[in-house]
Amino acid sequence: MSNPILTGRSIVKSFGARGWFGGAANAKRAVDTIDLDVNEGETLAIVGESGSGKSTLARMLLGLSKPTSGDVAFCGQSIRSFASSDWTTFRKAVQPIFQDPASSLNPRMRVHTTLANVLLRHKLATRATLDRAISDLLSAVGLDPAQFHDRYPHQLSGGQQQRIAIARAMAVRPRLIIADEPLSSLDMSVQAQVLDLLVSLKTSRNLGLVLISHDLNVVDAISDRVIVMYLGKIVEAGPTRQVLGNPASDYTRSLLAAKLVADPHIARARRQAMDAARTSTPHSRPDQQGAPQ
Amino acid sequence: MTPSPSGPPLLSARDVKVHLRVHGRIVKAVDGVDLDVHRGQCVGIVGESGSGKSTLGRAMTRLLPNVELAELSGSVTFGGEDVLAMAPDALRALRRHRGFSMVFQDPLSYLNPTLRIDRQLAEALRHLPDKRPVQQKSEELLSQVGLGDTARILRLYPHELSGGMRQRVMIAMALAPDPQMLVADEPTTALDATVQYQVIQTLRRINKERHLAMLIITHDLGMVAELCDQVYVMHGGRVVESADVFTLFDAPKNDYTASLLAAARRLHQTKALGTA
Repeated sequence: MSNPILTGRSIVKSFGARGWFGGAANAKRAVDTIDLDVNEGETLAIVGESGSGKSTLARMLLGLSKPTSGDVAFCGQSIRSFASSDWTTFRKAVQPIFQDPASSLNPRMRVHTTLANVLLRHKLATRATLDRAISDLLSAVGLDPAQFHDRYPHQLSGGQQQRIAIARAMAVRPRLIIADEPLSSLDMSVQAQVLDLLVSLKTSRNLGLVLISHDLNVVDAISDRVIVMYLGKIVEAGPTRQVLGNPASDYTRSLLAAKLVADPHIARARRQAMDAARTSTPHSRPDQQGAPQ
Repeated sequence: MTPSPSGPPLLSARDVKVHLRVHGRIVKAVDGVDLDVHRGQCVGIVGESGSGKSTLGRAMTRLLPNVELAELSGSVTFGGEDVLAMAPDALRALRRHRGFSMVFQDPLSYLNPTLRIDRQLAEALRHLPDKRPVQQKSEELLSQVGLGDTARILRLYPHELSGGMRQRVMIAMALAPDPQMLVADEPTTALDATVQYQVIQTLRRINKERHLAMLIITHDLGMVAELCDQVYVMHGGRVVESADVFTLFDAPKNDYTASLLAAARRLHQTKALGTA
């Protein structure tokens, strides 16, 4: 077993009503006592519906927000005790990719500048080697350097923007990327391309990946291990094959049942089975009882 | 199972061209499309961003802004009437009662944030011959789209609803004029996987129970497989292939269709996991 890069111990994040003396009686726990380890070179998926706390968890793992209680540690060191130089090391090792690439890129910076800033800040290139380094990055994410070097974000399609966001994250040669719904703002055919890019980057560079997603198809295609969250808690965790192939919890089963299948035969068979189940066990619908007649 | 397309189609488009003026250039967004929707049939238009599928949907429902339009030609008939040549008041009558309704991708930007749901539904119900109390009709519509606790929901503002509830409210509003056809442009793209599935099932139920014709515009072949009877694949403003859903998925004739299917299968494993 390799050493975990990131560990979370009893992480809690609560929002909302805090009393005069810090009492959190009405506070809502978005993330409720979560433990997790992220290992070197591993892809960990965190799935759950909106409001399950998966993005809040991702923000805490990235050090973008502080847990209300509990601790996040990077290579054994708590991020609460980080000095500013530790943050630099951390940012170089752990990089984010966000859902909406249009809002995570600076609209007033050309692709070139966006990438150059990262490379120079972390002293990964000098003025002399900069152009070469940027070309390499663009090629690595499947964009022609000559063509995209001078573009602004608005001159790129959604898929191209997300590739730039990935290139920016890859620029520091991170050990871990935390990607929050990296595909969900993209078109289906582009999703497949970006997914393939992530898979090839992670295998060729032994990159760790935390993938936050509500899309079980993506999770199934890419992850080694999966954590299923519901209302801030982990309801199920384990190897992807096991959790998705043989789910232990009802919630995971309901997520799987909602998965779309790109085959009309299976889709029709499934809904006929559902219709049959519905007619054999008539259940009263509360909304119809409540309606005045 | 698939409703047999008997009789003349409800909506029929022939050689529809929509050319737009963008920054002084002419963009052929839709370039000669033929399409039919029969009563009770669910038709899908699929394609990637920029393929012209939304523009086609808007052209056929007369929702295109005139300013950018360089050319709009061809014919679109709905129930035998020429939609493209229709006078504004005839068009309005069609939208108000027994015509077509639209559902869009992002319900939050189509609901008025300052009005409660009851006011917004009442707006859609105002012109109907059905003279029962608005409250009663509104609650009926909400329960038809699978929402419970309808009296409470009517008193809420859009921001107090979840994304899935908002989209169902939009569908309820679209159903208010008792339309013969529902046009839904990416109706579930903004939604979570579980909610997406529920909304798709709601659409399917409405399609079946009301014998309502539906035109679904989407990039998601998973949704098409789930819902549609007939599929048109668009690419670069043209229909590159059209077939019934089984033929299209089992034996695509066109290379572009095949590549879309490959991408979809990469993302939607064809095996149904965990349901063995």
